[in-house]
Amino acid sequence: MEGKEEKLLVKRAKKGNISAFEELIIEHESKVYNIAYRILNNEEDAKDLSQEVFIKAFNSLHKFREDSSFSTWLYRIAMNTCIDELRKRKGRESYSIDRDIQTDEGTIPREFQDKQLNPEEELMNKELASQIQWALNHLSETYKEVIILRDFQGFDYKQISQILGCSLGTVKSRISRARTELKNVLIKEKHFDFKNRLKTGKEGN
Amino acid sequence: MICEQYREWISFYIDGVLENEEKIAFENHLKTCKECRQELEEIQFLIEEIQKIPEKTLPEDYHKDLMLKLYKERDEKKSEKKKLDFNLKKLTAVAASFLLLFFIMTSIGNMGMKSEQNGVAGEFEAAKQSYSKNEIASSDSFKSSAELAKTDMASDYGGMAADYSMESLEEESINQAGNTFNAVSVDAGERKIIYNAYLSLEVELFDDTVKAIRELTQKSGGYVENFSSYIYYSEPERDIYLKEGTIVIRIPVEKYGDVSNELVKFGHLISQNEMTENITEQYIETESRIRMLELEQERLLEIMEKAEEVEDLIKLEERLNQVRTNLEIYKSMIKNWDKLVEFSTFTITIKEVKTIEPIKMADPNLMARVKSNFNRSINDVRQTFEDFVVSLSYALIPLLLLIVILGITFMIARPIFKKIIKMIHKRRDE
Repeated sequence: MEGKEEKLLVKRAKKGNISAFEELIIEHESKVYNIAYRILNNEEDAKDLSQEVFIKAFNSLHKFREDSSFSTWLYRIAMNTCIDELRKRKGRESYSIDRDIQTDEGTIPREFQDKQLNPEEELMNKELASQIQWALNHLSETYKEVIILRDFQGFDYKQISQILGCSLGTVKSRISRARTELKNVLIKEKHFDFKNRLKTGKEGN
Repeated sequence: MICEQYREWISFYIDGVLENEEKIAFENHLKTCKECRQELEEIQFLIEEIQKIPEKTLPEDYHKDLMLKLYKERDEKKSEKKKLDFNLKKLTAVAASFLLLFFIMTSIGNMGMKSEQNGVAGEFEAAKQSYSKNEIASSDSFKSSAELAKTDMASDYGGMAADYSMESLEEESINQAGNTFNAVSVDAGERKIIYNAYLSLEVELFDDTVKAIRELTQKSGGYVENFSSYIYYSEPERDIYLKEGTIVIRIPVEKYGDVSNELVKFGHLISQNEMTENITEQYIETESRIRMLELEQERLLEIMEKAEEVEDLIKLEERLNQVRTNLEIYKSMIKNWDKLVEFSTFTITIKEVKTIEPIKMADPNLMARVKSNFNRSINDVRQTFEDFVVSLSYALIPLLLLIVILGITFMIARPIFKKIIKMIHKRRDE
């Protein structure tokens, strides 16, 4: 969207024009939803929460000072809302045995404190994608944020620093550490064999 | 540089954010360090795997649900705001009525009351007289009804003199309860604006002015929506009947300016007030709501075709009914706006005025003297009454204050008073 056009739409939306707001958000709906999904790891919650993000944005549009682009501002709200929700949940619901983790590829039983995997679980967690999602859930918030924004959503370093409101240097080192951490979690907790994978991957090609 | 420090660069290398020199240094290091090479490959693999994970597609109806939520949110906000507005309106109304009261009281003091509507019950005057005439006239017979009023003048005791003629509109369909939603105009930029004008005129010939306004209205393709008039001052013995009335006309928006200019020429302009209201946004939003609902309706129909369970069908039918009802409401709103698109509203208040001559000197013959005395007595009664009203208006506020103070004193004093009485009783008993 052109800057000028965006400014005009923002102006109209600030006056309460929903059609203008609709035009502003329509191209971001999918990304916001995906961010929420990656953080919350549940379709139902992702839908509710991402919609809450847009409603929040609409209600606090008057606070948007237009020193960044609308999308950056929107993603910042999305990030904050989702992380807040995650914190709330962590405080509220301790890991329960009954409630499994919902992912794309099926249901994964929630992990316990000792993090020991039984053979059954290992079988269920075969899929790499769900393993990555699982590992992502076990990263700290700061690492989770940057992995989602950089590797899942493909934002560049500058955009990420604007969305998270921190310096470029911080973003750089966070991304680097987050990736290493993600890899380590996969190796440690999922006994992920990179060497093997890489080999088979190469042979496959 | 040792390996550890290169480790951080692995990520930057993959993302291509290394400076040229750094990149060369890093690549050189890779050639010699197997571990770093391994690390790079692993992280690269991981990132590629992440990128392979497909984006979640939005759930069906995601956008529509979101828009519905937004509209709901906005409506709730609006209704809150309206409540506030309403309270403000109330406050303003109260304040305005106080002002009005004050104004009336002072103006009564300043000018003699022109109208003589009340029959006077004077103990000291023999003559009690007033004129009563009450007739509902149909639209076209206004003039004749006024004439009738003159010939028909039988004196009657204690009545009210009023000639009331009411004309009820040509357009029944526009049921407007005096609100402002009257006309919508469509500009080139699809702006929808309601034009309202309020004029107040003083004229010398009421009926002629009304006629002229009617002609102007017809000429410009508009119509009269509402007309009412009454005689606010009469002096039958001198054949003076002064009328006051309000006429509401609807004029095609493109003639708004012309008609406004014409109207001003009809008399002495006392006040003029023009108001526009921009309803473009409401209009556009109502339209988009209709779009959303139509989408939902379509979808519901699709689902209904597939549905087999009776229960599902019933639920679907219910929802469909809701959707249809809402659709009807919004559509009729649009229709209503559209229907009124071309017309602006003029509300014109017309007051007939004449310089009032003093009552003529009586002829020296008996009848004339009787008449003259009779007139004088009426004038005296009127004067007395006016004086009474004036002094009442002057005394009103102190009087009210006095009543309030007395009331409060009474309330405070009552318990004390009761105690004293009790004490007296006690003493007596003892």
